[in-house]
Amino acid sequence: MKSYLTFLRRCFQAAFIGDWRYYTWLGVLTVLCFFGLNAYANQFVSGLGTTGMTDQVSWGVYIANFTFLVGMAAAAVMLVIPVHIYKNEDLHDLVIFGELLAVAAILMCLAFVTVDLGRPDRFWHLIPGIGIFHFPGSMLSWDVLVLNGYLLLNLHICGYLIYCRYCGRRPGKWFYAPFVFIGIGWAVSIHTITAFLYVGLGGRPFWNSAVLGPRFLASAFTAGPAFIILSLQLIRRFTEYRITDKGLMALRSIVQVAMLVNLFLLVNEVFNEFYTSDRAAASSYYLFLGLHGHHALVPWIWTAVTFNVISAVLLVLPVSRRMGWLNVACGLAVVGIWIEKGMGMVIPGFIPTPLGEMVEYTPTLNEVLVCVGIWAFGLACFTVFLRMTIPILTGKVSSENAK
Amino acid sequence: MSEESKTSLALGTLTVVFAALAIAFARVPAPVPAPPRQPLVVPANLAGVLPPGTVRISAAQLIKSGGDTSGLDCYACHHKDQPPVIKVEADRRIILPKEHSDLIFGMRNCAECHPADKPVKLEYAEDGTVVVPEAHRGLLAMAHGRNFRNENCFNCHDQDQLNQLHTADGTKVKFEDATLLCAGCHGPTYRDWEAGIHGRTSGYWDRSAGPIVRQQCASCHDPHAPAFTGLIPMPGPHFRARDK
Amino acid sequence: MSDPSTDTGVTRRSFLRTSTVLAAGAAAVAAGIAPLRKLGQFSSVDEFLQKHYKELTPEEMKTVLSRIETEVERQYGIRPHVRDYKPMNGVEYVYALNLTRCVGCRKCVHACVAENNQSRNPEIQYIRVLKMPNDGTFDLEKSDPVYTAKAVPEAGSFYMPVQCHHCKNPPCVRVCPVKATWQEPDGITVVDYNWCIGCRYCEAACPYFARRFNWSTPSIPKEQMNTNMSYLGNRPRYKGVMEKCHFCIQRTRAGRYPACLEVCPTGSRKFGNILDPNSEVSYILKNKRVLILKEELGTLPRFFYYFDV
Repeated sequence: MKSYLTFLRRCFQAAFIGDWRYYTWLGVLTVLCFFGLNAYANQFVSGLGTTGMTDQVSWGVYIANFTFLVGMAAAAVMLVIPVHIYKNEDLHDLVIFGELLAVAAILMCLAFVTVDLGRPDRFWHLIPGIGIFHFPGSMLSWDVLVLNGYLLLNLHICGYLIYCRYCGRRPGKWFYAPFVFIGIGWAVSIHTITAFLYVGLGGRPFWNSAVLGPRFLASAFTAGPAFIILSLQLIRRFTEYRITDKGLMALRSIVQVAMLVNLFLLVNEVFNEFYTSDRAAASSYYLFLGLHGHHALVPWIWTAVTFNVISAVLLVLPVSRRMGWLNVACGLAVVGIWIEKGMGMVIPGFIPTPLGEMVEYTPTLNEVLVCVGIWAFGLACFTVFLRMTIPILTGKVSSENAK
Repeated sequence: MSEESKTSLALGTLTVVFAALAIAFARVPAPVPAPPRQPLVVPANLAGVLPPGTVRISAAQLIKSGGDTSGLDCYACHHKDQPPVIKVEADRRIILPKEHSDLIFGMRNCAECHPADKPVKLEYAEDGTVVVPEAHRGLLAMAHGRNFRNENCFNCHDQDQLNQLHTADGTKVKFEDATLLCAGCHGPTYRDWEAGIHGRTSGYWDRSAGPIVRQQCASCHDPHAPAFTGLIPMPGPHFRARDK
Repeated sequence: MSDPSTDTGVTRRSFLRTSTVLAAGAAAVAAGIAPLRKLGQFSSVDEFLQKHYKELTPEEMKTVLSRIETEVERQYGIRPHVRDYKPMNGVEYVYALNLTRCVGCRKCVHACVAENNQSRNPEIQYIRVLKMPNDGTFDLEKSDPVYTAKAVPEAGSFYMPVQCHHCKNPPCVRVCPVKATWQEPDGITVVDYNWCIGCRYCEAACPYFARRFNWSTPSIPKEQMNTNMSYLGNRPRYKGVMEKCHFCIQRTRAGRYPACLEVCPTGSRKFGNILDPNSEVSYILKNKRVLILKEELGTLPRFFYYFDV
């Protein structure tokens, strides 16, 4: 017990101590966080009228980012499965980073949902037992459960794993393995249920498509590991933690396959919409081609498609075995999917409205600042988690040198 | 520069930036409440809405409610045993006597267009005559039916008993029962009206809680020109309109 | 990254540096959340802790109603009479709208605003009147909700007002994560404005664009306030909650017709108890051709469009 408290104290201390790069990076993120905090305070006082959302487009960039980040969180499972089911050795030491990213991503998700609420002060109505929880009727209540459950699960897995490393012992069988396997199913469920949030709305034909769930998973399993590759490159560069090329190549093949599946599913969706070309395809027309003279999203979605295609080509070619090209491919994949699955998936569902009104959506400055703040907060969390974890993984901090 | 002094520099800069941010946040004026997304609906526009505005006071209702019917006395002008003669134009259209214009009590609630605080201003044409506003035109027109076969006063009005009406088969109908006369030609509509689904209603759907208020045909339809004239629409929703 | 735990002197110095940064950071946070001072009377403790409508005992409801009266008086300067109208036994409301007769004058829209204390700015309206081309397509994308005209109806168009359809199988009720919106026994879908968390999932779920969100604090001129209010109906709403047509619950549960019906100059709007075989709506469903908007979605609306034959 005492050893555990010491562990916590040392982790906490480590978060505040680093070299000048660490301070500068964290400092920039904190400044951005403060801007976000200030913007949110404004929104809290004046209401969601400070955003660009309207009754016609009632979800915006908050929910778009939320959707993308749930995918990032779920992507950890793409490392867990090879390691724990197929006993992949190359990825073994990297799983923890995927799970830390998952924790940071879930924190961002929860923040994005909270800022999207009209009455955050009534948040307690959502807590089972105290409030009234519409379970299993509402998909949103499922989402609350699985997201928070996933957060706890990953906190436990990461915390326990790192603590074991700290103590220099092997993880206990019953304290670790069952949670890992539950976590695999759970990760798939968080993103499937987030897809069901949209799929379950019969009045919105753009979302009411069975392929949306698989698309969510495919894009998540592309963007997540791609983001992990990028962060591992940074870890390799700025810390003494050693990451093998083989591990990165294993991740590359995951991104490669997932990106191809993602594009394949996109083609399926696009064919279904445009070939039948019924009235339900109006949102797709708006997204890809513009509708009735409105085409705010057209440049964005084509950028996303271009990024994804270039990324897929790079990933398939041997050129992406070189780290520089791999980074480019991963960067394009993350940005492309962020556009496609965030704004490109959420906004067109509202345009045109069920009554055929065309009202477009542009986020306001205040809204963008809140988003930037939350992203900065999430990246800061991820950085701090890494800062705590890496010295333990490298053995610099352990129960041996506790004094 | 050593690592150590770089760290100090980074932290020092950060302190300054934080402090600057604190001052900036504190000095930025109070958050401006969200700018109005749409202009207000002018409250005056609501004046014509409640109470409801298109029911006319028809002659029938006036009689039924025991109102002042002195203006309806046919025999103040006509002689009882001398049936009036209808004047007809070359194309067989009936010439309506000017004196009958005030028998029609108006299709609209005047206050709908003319709020009490907005006096009516007359406009004059070049020749000095009063310009009849668009909205007032057609109130006296005789336009019952798609052709003008029905433009004979005595299709409905009784030629001998001017304070009565009569159906096609000669049955006398009192003014206050004019709806029965309408029913003679408009059977399906009358059936719907009896069922309560044609025409305005107000009051209570729950008959045990209170009465339902029904309107007679002539309360809404001008018997001489029963088709509805256009209404001025009230303002629409204020959002960025589709620019089609 | 250097390991922190080796040199005590360095640790102390870095501790001092860190504290300075933290102090400056705390100042920035404090200044950053300064706008919250403008919050004013955001939420009283009683309001914050209020239970769900269905869990309130009659005594608690009494307290809540008088608290709301006080709140409204404080905010709008006029004391209303807020009641909790209960559904009647053996009553299920149905609305029918005659598409042959509607001329698109929008009187219903504004009567509704006046009766139900809807926010004037930002503008909230429960009824959307769509001008549709008479070209046989029945394509909602061709509809025009913002038409202006010297006089309506215009040739070549018909008009279709759309409001909450009070579905028997309501998608909005299904998706609400906190059961802040539900169907009453008489078929009215209501919102508890004190329980809604403002996630707007119901707004995304509604296929009839019938729900409205309070994007900022509603404003209603004091002299236009309808002081006959109901808890589930037309009492003023809060910032950040959903609202919607509730068939004028404060009128209909007292046996009266809704405001949109009474104001309709053409008598296109009919309302009544479908369980009463002699009601107007029963007659319509038995004898008229009826259109159900978006019937294919299986929402089973209690709102029907009908035609004169």
